[in-house]
Amino acid sequence: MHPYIPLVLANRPIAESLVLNQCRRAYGAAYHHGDRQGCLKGTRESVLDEIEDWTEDFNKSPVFWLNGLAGTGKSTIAQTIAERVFAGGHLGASFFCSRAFEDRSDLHLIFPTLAFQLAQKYPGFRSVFVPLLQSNPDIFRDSLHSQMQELLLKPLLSTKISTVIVIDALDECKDEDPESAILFVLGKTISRVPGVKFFITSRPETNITSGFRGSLLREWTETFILHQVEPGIVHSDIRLFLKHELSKLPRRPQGWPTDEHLNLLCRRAAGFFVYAVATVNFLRHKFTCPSDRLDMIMKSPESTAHEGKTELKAYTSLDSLYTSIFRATFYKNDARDDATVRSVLSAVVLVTNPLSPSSIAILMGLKCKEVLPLLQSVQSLLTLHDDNTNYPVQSFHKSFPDFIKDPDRCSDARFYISPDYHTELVLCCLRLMGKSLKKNMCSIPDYALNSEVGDLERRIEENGIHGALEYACRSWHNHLITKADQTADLVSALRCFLEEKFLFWLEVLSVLGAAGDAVRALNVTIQWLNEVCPD
Amino acid sequence: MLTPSQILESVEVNPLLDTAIDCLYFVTEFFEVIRQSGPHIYHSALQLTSPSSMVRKLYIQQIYSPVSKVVTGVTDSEDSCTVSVRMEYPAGIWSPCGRFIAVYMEYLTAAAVEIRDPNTLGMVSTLEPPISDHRYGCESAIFSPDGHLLACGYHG
Repeated sequence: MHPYIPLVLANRPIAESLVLNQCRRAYGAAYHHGDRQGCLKGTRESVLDEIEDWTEDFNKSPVFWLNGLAGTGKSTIAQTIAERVFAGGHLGASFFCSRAFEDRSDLHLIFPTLAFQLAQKYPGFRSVFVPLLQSNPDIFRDSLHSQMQELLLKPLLSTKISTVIVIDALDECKDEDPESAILFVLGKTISRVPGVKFFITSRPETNITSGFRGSLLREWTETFILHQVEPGIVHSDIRLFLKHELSKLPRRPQGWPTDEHLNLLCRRAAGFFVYAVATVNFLRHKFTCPSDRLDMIMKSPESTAHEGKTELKAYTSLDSLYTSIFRATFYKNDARDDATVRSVLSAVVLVTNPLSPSSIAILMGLKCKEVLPLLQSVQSLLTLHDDNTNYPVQSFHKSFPDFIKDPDRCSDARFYISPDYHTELVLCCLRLMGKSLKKNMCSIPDYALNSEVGDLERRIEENGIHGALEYACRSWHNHLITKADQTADLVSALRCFLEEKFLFWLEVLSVLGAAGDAVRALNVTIQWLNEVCPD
Repeated sequence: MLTPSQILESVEVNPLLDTAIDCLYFVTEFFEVIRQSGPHIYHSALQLTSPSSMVRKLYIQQIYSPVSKVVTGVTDSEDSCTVSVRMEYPAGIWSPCGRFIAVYMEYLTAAAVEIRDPNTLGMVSTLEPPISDHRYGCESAIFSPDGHLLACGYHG
């Protein structure tokens, strides 16, 4: 008998919680996770007012699309809206997509995660959702349409709740469909749940634009195009932000920043908040006067070209800022140092789940005392915790990996992360697995099932499987690409891995509860081998 | 200077492709075993995979305590064990001591009940029916609780 059945009789809420916690979902996707900041008070007021009015009026369209180019401040607005709607008691669920995390860029985890949060908030929803989850525990593998029907529509129809759901950065989910798959499903069901409002933000990617403009969603959607807001309004918001943030910086000279500085920075920001944020991050330095650092970036060429895929130019203000930050930071480097910079940064911008500085060091075969100072020197472009080398490091904004991986935008070849760095990452993963994987690393008793080992998590931790080795075991295949100079090295490393470490790798995936990764990895490997040698 | 395809020929991609395919076969065939237990990757999955499996050949030394497995009536394929037992022996029961398995064929003309070793399926003994002209096979069989006697039921 399943262990929760007696509990159903004894204590229904506890039993429901136990089932609910088994619900597969993306972790850290809700608005209150992480260090996301909302809008500075007094900025973005007109757009926030418009969206807030929409959230409160259930006679208006059930879908609101905040469409904006990268760096225009969509996520900050989404964060503010989520906080305000939550404060008003109407926030049902939120999902902040992020391509920096595998689960938060997985379309198939959006509906389960939203349903989980709705079930946590609304007891009526939970009482319908939990039995559905029990009767079909594999619902997470079903189609998006089936997920929507079972996980959201059925409980919503039976409870008739009124709520607001926030989905941020939909463009960061992996979706190959010509018309956004999730928007297609939403379009087919939105008319049946009149009490539910969806606030969605994204870049104007083609498939998402098609989704919102398609016949299913068009009449149900209100659209706000953030990069078409009156430039004067955005300019004054950015100015307010810069003045507020720069006047808090330590070691600033008296009277700094001047109006001239602010005007120049606003002009260079060209409507992109991310420029202002990156500048403030760069000027906020432990040991250097912010005015000296401002001089460094002021020397870079000025441009007011718009950034973003749809209006890409070779020199943009943002690209110019990033380039000048790199040049100012690494001006003393020789070619070998530059190669190390690229390797370490590739482990920040190419990985499918963020790694800590210590894990990056282990994975890349470097010393932590080499990696940490290097990351600290470009701290303005990263989220890095000074005191904790085990805390994952990420890009401060999506525009940074976009820049550094694009040869047209990253004009200084010393810092360009080419696709070949994926191959370096696979080789690093295979090397680490070759060195570390051994039979029965967790000393599991003979014939035991993983579920019978009470302290399995402790054994995994103590044997150093979490961190770099876990990443190597679970994600090496994500870096197999066909255009690589080092194909022969890679074939040789793969052979060693499959012939010597294959079963030990399966063991680690088994104890991590990630056996499915083995199927994915081998399928990708077979496809890759077929591509590199079609005969 | 070698072309990319010459380089790849020199590193022999195709044997590696075969190995990768065999590894995938191993994982999908024994997925539940792998998912549930690290040790059973060796105790169960590796033990039960076919003799022709590359994974088995590569990792044979990792089997904890090698034991013999099916050696008769088995073709050289991944599913041979299951297939051959299912086809040749539609019914079977274990002795209470676990040392023997009695296998018999319902609805077929072979009337004998065979006692086989459960690990190797090797023949231990053949029990002929008490009446030699039985036209049908044994319909049911059961060991006595002490395992010393085997009662068989015949039709007609």
